[in-house]
Amino acid sequence: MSSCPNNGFSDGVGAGAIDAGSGSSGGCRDNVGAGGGGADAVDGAGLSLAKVAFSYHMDGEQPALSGFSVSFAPRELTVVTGASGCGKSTMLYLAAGIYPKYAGSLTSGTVRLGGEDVAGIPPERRAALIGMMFQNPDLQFCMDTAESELIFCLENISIERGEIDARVEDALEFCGIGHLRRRRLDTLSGGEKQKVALACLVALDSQWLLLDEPFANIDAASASELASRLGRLVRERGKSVIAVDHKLDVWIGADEQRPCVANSITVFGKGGIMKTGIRPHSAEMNGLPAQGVDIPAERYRPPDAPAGTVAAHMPTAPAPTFVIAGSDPQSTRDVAAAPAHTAASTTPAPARETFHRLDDVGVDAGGVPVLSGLCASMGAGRIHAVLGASGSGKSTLLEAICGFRPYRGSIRAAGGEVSRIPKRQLCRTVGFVFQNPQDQFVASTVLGEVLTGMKARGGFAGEAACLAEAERVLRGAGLWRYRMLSPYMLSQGEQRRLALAALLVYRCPLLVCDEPTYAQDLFSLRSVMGMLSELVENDGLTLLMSTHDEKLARDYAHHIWRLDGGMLCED
Amino acid sequence: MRRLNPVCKFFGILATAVVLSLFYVPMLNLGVFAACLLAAACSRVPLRHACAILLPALLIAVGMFFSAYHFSADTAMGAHSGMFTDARVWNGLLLAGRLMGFAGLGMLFTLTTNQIDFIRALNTQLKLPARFAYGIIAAWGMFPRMAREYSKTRSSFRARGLRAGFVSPALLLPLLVKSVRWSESMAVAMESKGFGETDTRSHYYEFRAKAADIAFAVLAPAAVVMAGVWLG
Amino acid sequence: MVAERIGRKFELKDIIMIGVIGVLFAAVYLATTALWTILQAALTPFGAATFAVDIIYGTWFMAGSLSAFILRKPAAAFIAEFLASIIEMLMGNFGGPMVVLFGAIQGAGNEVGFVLTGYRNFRLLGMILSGVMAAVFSFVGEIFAGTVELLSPEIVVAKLALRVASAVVFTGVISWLAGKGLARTGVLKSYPAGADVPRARILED
Repeated sequence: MSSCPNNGFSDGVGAGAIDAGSGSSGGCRDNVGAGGGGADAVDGAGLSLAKVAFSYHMDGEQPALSGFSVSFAPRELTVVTGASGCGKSTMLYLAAGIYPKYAGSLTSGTVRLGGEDVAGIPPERRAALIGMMFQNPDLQFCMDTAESELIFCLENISIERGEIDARVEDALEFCGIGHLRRRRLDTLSGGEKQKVALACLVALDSQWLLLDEPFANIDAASASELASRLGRLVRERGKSVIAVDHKLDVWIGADEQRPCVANSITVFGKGGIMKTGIRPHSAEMNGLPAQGVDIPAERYRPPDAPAGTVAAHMPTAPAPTFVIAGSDPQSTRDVAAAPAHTAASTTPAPARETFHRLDDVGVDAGGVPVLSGLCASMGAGRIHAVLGASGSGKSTLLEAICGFRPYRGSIRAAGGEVSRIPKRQLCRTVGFVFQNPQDQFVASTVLGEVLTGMKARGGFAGEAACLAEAERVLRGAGLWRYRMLSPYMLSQGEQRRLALAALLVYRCPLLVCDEPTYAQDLFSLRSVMGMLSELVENDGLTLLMSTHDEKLARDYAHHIWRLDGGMLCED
Repeated sequence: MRRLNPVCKFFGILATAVVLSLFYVPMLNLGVFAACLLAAACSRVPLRHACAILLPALLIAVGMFFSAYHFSADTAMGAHSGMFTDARVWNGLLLAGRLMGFAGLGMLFTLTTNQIDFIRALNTQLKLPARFAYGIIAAWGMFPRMAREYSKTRSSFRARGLRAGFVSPALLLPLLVKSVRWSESMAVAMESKGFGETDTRSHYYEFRAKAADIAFAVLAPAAVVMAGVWLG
Repeated sequence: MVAERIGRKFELKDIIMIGVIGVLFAAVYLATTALWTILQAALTPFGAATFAVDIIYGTWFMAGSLSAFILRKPAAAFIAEFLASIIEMLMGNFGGPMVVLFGAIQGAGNEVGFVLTGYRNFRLLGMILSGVMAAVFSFVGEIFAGTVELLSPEIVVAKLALRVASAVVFTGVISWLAGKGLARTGVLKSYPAGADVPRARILED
């Protein structure tokens, strides 16, 4: 292979056509047999970053990676893990040749595949070498159906018309989505979309598959199915997979239904690689939670952790302290240092009247009834988790409770019928935290975001008092120094803290959170959930959250509700 | 209509509409409208879809009739026929009818053409660069998402106790941020699937103008000219 | 081929962004349909319905001026408006192919607005000029299409004035405010509009 590094490696279907439009010399083709043989061809075929310095700023300041080196062995499935913000995704985008073209600047070092500079390979040839699968299943298709998308991929790399049908067929069959070929992509679930994305990579016959948190948005069943197909691609077709993920359960196999597919694990820490070549289920894995990585054996809420444990894990110092605007400054709590009780061992919050009620609730979406006949009474001052597969209507229900959607029946929050509460007062009764914090920013600065809530709530003696209060809230969230920035400029974790802080100033008795721990590492998850638990225990806040993470519900919620087949039942 | 080459159909219909705007004959407008309805019916266009497009047009046409009726120019344009002695009614009918003629043509094109095929045909037949062709398809595909996002943003403003107008800068801002982010993600995704800056690609679908397609593009506007001359 | 040379300066992500902004405004139009229908119906009996379209006409040119604001290069406004009209047609606007023709005419107007400042002013003045020219071009286009000239001259002038005013407000002022806000968020880092925004201010105190 080393004699012909430019070649698109390929097996079986359509091997001859990959070079057709690329202008490469062709002629030297390595047919990797089933079973991942051909280890002698490994040399020079690896993907490696050497002494890379990369910054998201054009002037090269504040580098995201510096003096960074890593190499990946071909024909293996490597999981790259570590806390948010340590450069995992940056590394992946560099390896795929997307950076520095689309963002930032590579000030030194090389990114090479089989000896060739990745960024220098034109896309139509690179696709056969490196394919990407993204975190967001929605923004990766440009056509309307799976079939057109696959044809689009194959046209890109100049596959002849006569050959396209066979490759489309093979890819659909390999991914088990033949039945979806003519369905509109926007009607598919997240899991189905990721299967189509994988089919594209199979059709393109990419030698390296680079995956950026591919399971963050999809249900567990689809995730393990995808993982097993990726394992097959490595074993049967000799592909190489690099998967970035901060959760490991799907890759290393949590139970019999989900066998281990990962060959090795690489851990990133602050400032670069901490450790490479960790074997799944080895003793070395026990050190991962300290790096912000969730492993199946680790509980989110450590049962006997001493106070301050979470703070010690917080990537930012000093640990953020959340305050509710307008509450007595003396009661300011250091949330990160929350005493970590398990839900079960906590003395129940003083039982007040049950005042959040659903009675025969039905909700339509697009004229079709999604939910009907839901009844529940949810105790105040408790944490309620709503579990359900994607598409079960969790978000729809939450939106109805917050007054975003019309509903039938009765929803009483904090003693009032949601549909009858005037729109401008609703924000003081029910607070809604979006799954993606960016969905709820309304102001152009961090400060403005908090002030908006204070103005809507009212009751401040003049501008100065309002500003002083905002300062207290923002200092508490560790965001005061960023007050003049646009909320969009904050990191993901900071955005989430801001989103929560901005909503808590409304002091509503019921807080509804849609997937509050979505796409977060273990540090961030513990910080957010610890803070919310504190507010529930000390201020009598009622928290209603949706999640598809059983472990999260078990570790933090007092009551677990399941939404299944349009029915809501308490566990 | 569905089997016509999309590019030829586009130009045929566009030429017909342009020709229509040169005549001042109410009966011609209505005739074209009726012909479009007939053609749509023959192509088995669902009535519901046709109404969804034509009703707003009808609303505007009615408004236009009254505007012309109230505020008509002094003299009627075009030849008078004995039917309408009142110039105001004549002018009103002309304007409203012309709008319905346009709407019929537009509806006929939209509902008998596969949008993606049309753009693909622009790429292969008119050599519209692939970047533009597939960029348009990608952007167009984001519409349902954008519509959801728009209403979501409005509800998030409401949930914060804020009022925001339909096009207030504060409301547009989050949506613009998303537009920029999405377009970058989409471009990255397309490029990682081998979509290049050059136009070297194979074409699975073939688009060629056959005799019937060219005949439509020429005969449809020609027929309107003849009908216009005869009626006028 | 001049067109080819100018077109080459537009990368895939620019083209998609222009298209998505077009899609955004299409979503806005869709959301305003109800309001617009009421306005139209309320004005009909007085014969004033013809003004309804002019009051909101400025929103149609926003995609063009905003895209030019972000990309700051020749042809951006025209291409944006043109692409937006193609997308509008694909979505089933009743104008069909005529929408594309009008998109091209309006886009030319948008573009001429920026030509007048020699592509040097992408601030408020440039945006307003772009909107005003687009309004004038679209009006001339309608005269050729024969949808206004049967109205009495006073009404025609009133329509034009309303349309220009709408363009000043929507295409000029609101687009400019939205564009400036967008640049401040930092997402335009890789675009000319984001390049002159100073690095984020972190206040240490």
